[in-house]
Amino acid sequence: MGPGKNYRKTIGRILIILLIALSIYYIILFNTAENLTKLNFILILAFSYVLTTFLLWGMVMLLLKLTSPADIRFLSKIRADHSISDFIIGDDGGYSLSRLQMVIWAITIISYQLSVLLTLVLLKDPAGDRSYLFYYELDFSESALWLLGLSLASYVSVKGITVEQTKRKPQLRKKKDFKRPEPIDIISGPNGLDFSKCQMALWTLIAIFIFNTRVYEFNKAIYHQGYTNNAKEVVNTFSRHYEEYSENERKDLYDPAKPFVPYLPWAFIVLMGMSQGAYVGKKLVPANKVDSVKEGLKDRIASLMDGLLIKKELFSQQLALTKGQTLTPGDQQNLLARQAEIKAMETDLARLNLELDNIETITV
Amino acid sequence: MAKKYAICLGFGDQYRGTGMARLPFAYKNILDFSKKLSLKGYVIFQIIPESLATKQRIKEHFLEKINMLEPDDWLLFYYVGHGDIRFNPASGNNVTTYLVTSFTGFDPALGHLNFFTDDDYATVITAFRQKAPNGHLITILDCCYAFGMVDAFKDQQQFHTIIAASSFDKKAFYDTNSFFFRALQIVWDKRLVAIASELPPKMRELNDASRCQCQLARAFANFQL
Repeated sequence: MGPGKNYRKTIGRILIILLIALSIYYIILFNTAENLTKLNFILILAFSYVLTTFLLWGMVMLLLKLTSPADIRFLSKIRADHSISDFIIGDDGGYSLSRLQMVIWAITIISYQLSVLLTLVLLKDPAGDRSYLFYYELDFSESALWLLGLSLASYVSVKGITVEQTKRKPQLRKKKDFKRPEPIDIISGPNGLDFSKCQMALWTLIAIFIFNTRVYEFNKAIYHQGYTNNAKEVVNTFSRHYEEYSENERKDLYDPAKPFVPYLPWAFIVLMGMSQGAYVGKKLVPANKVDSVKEGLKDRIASLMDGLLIKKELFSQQLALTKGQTLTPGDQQNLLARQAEIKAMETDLARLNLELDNIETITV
Repeated sequence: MAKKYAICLGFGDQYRGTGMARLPFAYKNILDFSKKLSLKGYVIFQIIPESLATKQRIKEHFLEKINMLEPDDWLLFYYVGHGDIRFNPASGNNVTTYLVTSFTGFDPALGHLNFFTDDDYATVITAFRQKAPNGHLITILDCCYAFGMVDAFKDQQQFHTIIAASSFDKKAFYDTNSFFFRALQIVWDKRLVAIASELPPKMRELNDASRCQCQLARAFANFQL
């Protein structure tokens, strides 16, 4: 078992321990009637993150189990072959930033909904005749949908580019190119650390942090509104969307007790969009020009070789077929021209082969 | 006994840089077809290389070889390459069809007349008729607007069998090889051998030629253009 498997296993174990600990904490919280503190809300959010990860993973494992051959009866066998990090492994065998973004935004947005749900479950009406779960709305801000959409679009584009490049030049993707996934893959490219990936990863982390602070505020507000038996305000909070360019939504009018459905500013979405655009654009530019030149040369050599073989055969056939014929001056000229053609092609071929040899010596 | 001769002509590489697509399969088709013909007893004349195959040179080549024929000899002409048409507004929009032959010594003032036109081929056909009045001429053209090269003679010539890849106003199709050549290989054993081998030319062969063309059309249909 390699070092890659070891740290993946350690992360898995930590997540399981966290899930168990947070579940116990949540059950204790459920059985206490006290008002929740700031730490409680942070831990609810953390719990929803871990729970979402496990729910997603559990669903995948279940699907794998259902679609596996009959002889694989035990889930442990599937679990040994697959890990949660499979979600973020790219086509080259390493971790992929676009996949990580897609997965992380999906988990963040599902966790946000789950944390709202968990908060509503904890709400206790003093009279005991009202369930706040009834007021739950599966509502997203436009910016959250855009973020998820951008990550998905970037993932699909990068996948398309990779497939197209592989289809065009399958020889460029040799087996040796498939590597063991390492965390450093997320911020590095074929030529070492990649600045565009670094900044993309950083922006994503900042955006997730900001989004989660809003989720925290949102949950806290809903809880306090419910706790003070203000059901109408709970309903209003679920439908309060931030309109950045509206006069009524000025920041100085913002009331922390009445937060908006978690959102990110449009400037941030544009920044993410540009960052994703740069990342996808970079994928379109061949990472290694030497490889492309080499392949182009090889194609030209192969085509020239085919042509040369046919012309040589044509020439020898001409000689054989016209054996015994009286050759006119025109025929002799034809033969000489054909010979010259073959010689020119051979010279071309030798030049191209030399060019290829020179390129082969370049180490990338 | 009548002898059978063949003149093959093909252009693939010379179109590089002219805006016309290269036809890398042209030489292979010539090679394959001339092999088939030589197995059927045809004497293959020297094939003119692209660099020399100007209109003038091709005409001279034809006339030189036709001069060697006996009155009942056969001649088969096989061409693979680009064909094109030009409308002549000055002469009531008459169409000139031409084979895009060598660009060596291209004279811009002459335009399409730099190439081997239907009129040039008409001269060749007339020369053949005079030299081999009892012979037979088979023309196989694998190019666009192919029938335009010979359509002036379509009604009156029993001595001339024409098999063309396209009509006078249509393009011929190809991808890695010409579709016509693929069809030609399919019908070779069934029809073409009979046309190319039997003596003397009879009406039956003309029927065979038209059946051959029908089969070619069916073979084209199978390619699902």
